[in-house]
Amino acid sequence: MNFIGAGIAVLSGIGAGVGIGIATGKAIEATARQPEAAGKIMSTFILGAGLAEATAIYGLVISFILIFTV
Amino acid sequence: MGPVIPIFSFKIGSFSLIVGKAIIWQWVVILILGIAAVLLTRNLKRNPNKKQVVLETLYTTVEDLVKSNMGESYISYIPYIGTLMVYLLVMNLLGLVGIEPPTANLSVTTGLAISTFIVINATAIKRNGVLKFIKGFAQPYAAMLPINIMERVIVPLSLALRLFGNMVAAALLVELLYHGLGQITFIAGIGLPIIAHGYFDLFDGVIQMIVFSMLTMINIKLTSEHN
Repeated sequence: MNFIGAGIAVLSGIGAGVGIGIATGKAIEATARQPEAAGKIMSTFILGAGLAEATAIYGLVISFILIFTV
Repeated sequence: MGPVIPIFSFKIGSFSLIVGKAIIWQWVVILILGIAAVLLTRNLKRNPNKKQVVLETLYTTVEDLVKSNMGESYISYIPYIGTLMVYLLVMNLLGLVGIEPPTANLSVTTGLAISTFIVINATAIKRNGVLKFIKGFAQPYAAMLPINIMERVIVPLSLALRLFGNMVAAALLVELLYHGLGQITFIAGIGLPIIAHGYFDLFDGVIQMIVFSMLTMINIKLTSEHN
């Protein structure tokens, strides 16, 4: 039963994947419009991707707790 | 390997202080960084030689980050942010040499998050005074009081969990990769994992360090301006 729950918990990765994919598209669009700002755009994008990935990691931590300790 | 249990103690102090593996590695990192810092800043000249140019580049990078994210009046935070960045970077990259990074231990990341929490709130109190700090919880409406309290608490919590989760996932994946390759043959474990190490350990470690530092800087600025 724990493993089923762990599998469901990791489904939160869908949100992170979609969100970061959309953000990448916007970042590429912005870079294409103004290539001089590429450095700033990329650093903002990396920061945003790191933040958005955190919610997927929360799901992963819950699944670790379910598999290994409970 | 369980992410919540792993404590095996090296010694027990006078009142049962359990020193685990992560703390010993952190002491090693602190010692190495301290000795390197003292030795590298020995003879600073006006016309810099190559070693000094590298150190000055490092310092100006941190200074630019602090100035652009926090503004001019926060220059005194450059040492704290710089130390945090270098310390986190070295700890995250320990996975490259085969040592389990200390940040894969929830207690370590919670300690770092608590220190950030203390710095954020102490900054807010020092810059605004205690009364305005307490009144700041009830802004803009009094009904936002629980939400404000929750936000103050969740910021360090999410910092700790984010760093911990990423490091544990990276270490686990690399270990699984080595295990799987070792079962095919012994030779296969020599060349192929370089890409995996490069992505998981190097890229992930650097990104997590950047995210932690940026969030610390932005939260210090936001919390003290919020009041």
